[in-house]
Amino acid sequence: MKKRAQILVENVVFIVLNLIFLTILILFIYSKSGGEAVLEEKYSKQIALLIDSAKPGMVIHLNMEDAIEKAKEEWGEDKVSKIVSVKGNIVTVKLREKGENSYSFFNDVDVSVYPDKTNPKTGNVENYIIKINNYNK
Amino acid sequence: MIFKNKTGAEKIMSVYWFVILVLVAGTIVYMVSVFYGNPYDVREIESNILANNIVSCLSENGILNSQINQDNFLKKCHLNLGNDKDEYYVEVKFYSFGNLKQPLDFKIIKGNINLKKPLSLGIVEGNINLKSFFETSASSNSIFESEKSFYVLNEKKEELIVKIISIIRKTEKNVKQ
Repeated sequence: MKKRAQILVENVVFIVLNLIFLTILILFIYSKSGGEAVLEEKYSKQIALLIDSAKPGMVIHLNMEDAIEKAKEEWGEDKVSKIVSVKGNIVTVKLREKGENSYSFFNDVDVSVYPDKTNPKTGNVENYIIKINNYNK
Repeated sequence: MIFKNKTGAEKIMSVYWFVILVLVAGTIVYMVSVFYGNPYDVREIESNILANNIVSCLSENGILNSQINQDNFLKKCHLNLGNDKDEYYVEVKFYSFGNLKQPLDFKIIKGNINLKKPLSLGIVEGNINLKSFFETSASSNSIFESEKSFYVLNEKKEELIVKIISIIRKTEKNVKQ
């Protein structure tokens, strides 16, 4: 009886250790893929390319739920409206206190960027609105 | 009997098992770090968008916009290369439909000419080829070049082929240094 119980315990420990190992691995991959720096780069380039291919009058709703959640955790709840900014022909995305990512666009347009606060279900900010106003003169 | 003590054999197996796990995990960690450590290279998409914007600016319903020239090209096509003007090179050449080997005299060139490949620059650009050669050959992905051609009619209803070469550098933002 003692030997059987010992075998069972050894197997359980073996399986638990394996599971812990795999969990750590998955958490590492998850943290790497959803890191602030990666999201900043992804969204700054995405927004710059959207602006490049847009025409005046277009209003683009971009879902940035993951980035907004990160910014709330890392930078503060009140900073949601400052995540994306456009100065001249440079888009900047900032999700943390220290660090940001910028990318330039070549389309000579006037752009307004602001968070969309119209989600009736959750009341949370999930989207950003990119409004292409006019060509610069 | 090779294994007199079964539990001992199992313990050895589990040690090997963990060695394999560490190897697999190490490989995955390395691959993930390399993958996410490299910036997203969006220059291909960007140069395609640039070429498309130029196409829609030059051609209005299949007719060439004759008001555009070398001087007003950026303004008419609503392009603002801004502080990054050295990161871009745009070349628009016009060919008669019957003679695709010899471009017409009229052409538009904007941006940093050094980004262009040395062979296609030819004799016209003189010593600048040497500079361009060293800059572009140092690293194969230091620039991204795309080429697009389209058919258009001019004001006299003559058939033309327009060839657009767009080159983007932006190495710092798109390639791991």
